[in-house]
Amino acid sequence: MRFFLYTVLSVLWLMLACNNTSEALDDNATATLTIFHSNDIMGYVKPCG
Amino acid sequence: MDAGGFGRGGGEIGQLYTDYLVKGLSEIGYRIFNLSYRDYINGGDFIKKLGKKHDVEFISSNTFFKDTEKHFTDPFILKTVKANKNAQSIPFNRIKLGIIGACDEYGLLFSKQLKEQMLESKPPLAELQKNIDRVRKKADIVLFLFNGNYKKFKSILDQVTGIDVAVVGGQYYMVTPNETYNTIVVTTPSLGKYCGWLTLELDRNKKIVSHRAKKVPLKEDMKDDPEMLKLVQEFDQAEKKLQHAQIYGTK
Repeated sequence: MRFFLYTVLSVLWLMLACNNTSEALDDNATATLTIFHSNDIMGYVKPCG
Repeated sequence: MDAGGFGRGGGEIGQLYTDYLVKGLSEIGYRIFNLSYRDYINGGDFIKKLGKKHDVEFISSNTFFKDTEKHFTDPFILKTVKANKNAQSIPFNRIKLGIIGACDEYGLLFSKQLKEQMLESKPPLAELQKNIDRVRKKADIVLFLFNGNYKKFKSILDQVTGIDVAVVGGQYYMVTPNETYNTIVVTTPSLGKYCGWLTLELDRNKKIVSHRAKKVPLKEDMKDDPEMLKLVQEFDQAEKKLQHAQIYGTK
């Protein structure tokens, strides 16, 4: 029973910690996504001069 | 990702070139390829085999089997990208991308001598808005890969809403920095001599707040990648072997 209570309390503490971390995040925080792209390579697998 | 136009040509030599090109692109992390009319020269079965062999996906929203009018590939693909494990203080950990492809209408796409189901490309605008609306509902960012005529591309941007980023092939040389679009439009010049690198900055609602587009020239003074050198050697040997077989009739 005691083990069960400790487990529940640990989970609650973790949830609270995660929530606080999330709230502490700057409203202006951003993430970056980088995309590599190409087009019309046309099989030029060798230098063409 | 590639906006299409990777196919070198028909016949065994053309297939060999295209096979090694897609293999190399797959090895450096390419996963999604749009299809242009040039890429169908060896037939649809060859494209499907390439996809399986090199673990890449091909998309086209306006290519259909002529007889059944069913799509040849998925018109779009959804990909979830997870944040880098070392990233700190970012407002979300994953983002869903919707990638849709299209090319010019071209009618029948390869010679009737190929004994397989014929494919045809239809006008790209016909179902594009419907497909983009479907993608938009599921994705945070919508990417459009287009290969073809620039005027047609412009008319798509004028008539279709919901595209965040477009990568253009075909008349890529018509895209100039002087033009302004509501969509971010990127392209790379000179037949694979540049790598396109687009960085999007996203707010906590996963909306694009700014972007930087670079064209990185693949110059002679860049250090060669050992794995790619090995692949080039392998390709040279395969090409010589095939040419020898074609000239002397032996393999």
